[in-house]
Amino acid sequence: MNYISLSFAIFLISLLTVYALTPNQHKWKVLLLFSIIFYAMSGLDKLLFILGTSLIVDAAALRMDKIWTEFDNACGEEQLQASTKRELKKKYAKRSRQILSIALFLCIGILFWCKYGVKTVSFINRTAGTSLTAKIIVPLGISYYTFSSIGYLLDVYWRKVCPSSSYPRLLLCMIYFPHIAEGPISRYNRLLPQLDTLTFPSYTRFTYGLQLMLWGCFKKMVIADRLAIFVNNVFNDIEANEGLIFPIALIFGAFQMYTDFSGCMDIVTGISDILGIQLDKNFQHPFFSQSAAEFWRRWHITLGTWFKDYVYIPITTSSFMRRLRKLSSKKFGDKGSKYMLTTVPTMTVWLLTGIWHGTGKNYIVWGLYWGILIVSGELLSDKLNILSERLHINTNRMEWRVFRTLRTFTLYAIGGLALFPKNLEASLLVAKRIFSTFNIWIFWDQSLYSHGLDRRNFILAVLSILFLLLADAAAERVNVREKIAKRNIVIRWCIYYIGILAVLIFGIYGPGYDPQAFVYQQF
Amino acid sequence: MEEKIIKMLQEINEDIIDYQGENMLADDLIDSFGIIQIIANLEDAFDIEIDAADVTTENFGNKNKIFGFIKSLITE
Repeated sequence: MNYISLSFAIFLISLLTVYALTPNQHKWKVLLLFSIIFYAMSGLDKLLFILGTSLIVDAAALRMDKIWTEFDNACGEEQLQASTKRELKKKYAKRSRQILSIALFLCIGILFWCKYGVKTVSFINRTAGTSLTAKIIVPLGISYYTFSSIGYLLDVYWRKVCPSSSYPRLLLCMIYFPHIAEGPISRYNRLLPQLDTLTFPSYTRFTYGLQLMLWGCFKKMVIADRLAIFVNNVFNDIEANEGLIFPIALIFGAFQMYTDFSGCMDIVTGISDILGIQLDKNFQHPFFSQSAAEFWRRWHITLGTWFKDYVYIPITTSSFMRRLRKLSSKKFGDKGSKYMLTTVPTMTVWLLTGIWHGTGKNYIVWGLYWGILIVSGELLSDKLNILSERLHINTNRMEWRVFRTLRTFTLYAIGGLALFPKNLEASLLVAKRIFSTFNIWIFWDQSLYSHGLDRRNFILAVLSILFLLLADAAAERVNVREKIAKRNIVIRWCIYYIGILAVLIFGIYGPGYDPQAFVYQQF
Repeated sequence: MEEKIIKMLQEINEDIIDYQGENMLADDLIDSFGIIQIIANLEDAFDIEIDAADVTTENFGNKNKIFGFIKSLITE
């Protein structure tokens, strides 16, 4: 069920009605019921997958917790020496790790099979000459809930959180309909306590939530879906296009990805705000970032923090990394150790980030592209600072900051070369055709308007991007929602009506129009 | 010990020394590269091993928390 559809509107109104009428202590049960219905509408067979994963996660978390409780009891019974306690901890950690390993193997195995099953079977057929077939089911949001679950299991193993004693509550955290399709990748320990404090939606919560949903609809329907027409038109027929049309499509593509994904986040966060559950923030105006590293701290924040906590830090603190650091320190001194420390965990994370986004080679290239940019930014930062000083560049000046922001945006747009064309060969073809001609005349010979967007729609797309940037710039400085809320009722409702009318008038609809699925849903 | 740690933190970001908050990671005083650099430096300087499980706000939220955490590892 698409978040922007009539069926979802009916679903949401039904939920809110039942939710409002249900006593507070039972509200979470309503959310669980409706979340299961939402999920089941994507396919009953898919529901079995998420139920299976949730049972594995629940059982493993409780078992690990039991082992750690036994350890506490063993330590508490007698005053142990530090060394004895350390040995005892190792023993119990080993037992706990066995449970963790089995659970991770199953969770990652299911994810791998759903994402790579087709490729694996065709690889086996190619190499062994067999003719195996496999019916692969891809459960809704499998990448998102698997990652959240892995995080939860590791947190329990590390004793950073206590597991939920209630399976239905854990299941709700996993299947909660606002975050299941496209994230954010939630931490269950932040959701679980909120289930105990659910209340009747207040006027403020309701209007704040609606505001955010409206802004999300504007981003998705007015900007993202309009830009998608142009971007798809250009990249679906690469041979027919050349020169400047590709950079324009890449710039539009960058804004399409942003408005599509962050638009969805605004819609689901708005819904969740009304229900009284605060979801983790996934965007912080990434197009105002001044470096590649900062960009990824502001874009898909929950994926970035997930990789940091569960891959990056564990690699850094692993015995393998310690050995590698010592070895490179011996051979190349402190610098060698620093290079190794910066490069290995970051490149691993970005390789995995690429694989997480898709199964094609182009996603691996895209991940490595960002890894190299971030690593080189870090390793060269000292030298670049010296260079800036020598060139007498005042790095605090507005012009310099604008330059860095534009540079970061350009790097993001170039990265789209690996994402928008169908495969790596097509990406290379695009790169080649960009430089085949400098057809600046497309700006006045009307050919710019022959890619799905007529002149009116093209101008509307550009104006809405400018409006988006202005709104984001304002949100960098002030809390726009609170500012609107402080205005008197006439101005406030004028803003709402203008927003609703903008979506109704300028949104992409019409006969035969099929609303674009949210891009990040496919990941 | 504290002097050594202060020197390490200063190399990453001088503002960490005067920071009075509880979570310097969330308050953008230190990024991912900074935190792994600190971990590596602490491990080398005090001949200790820091687990991923120990990389928490409780242990790395500010300089005093780091002092306490390292002290507990050394005396363990």
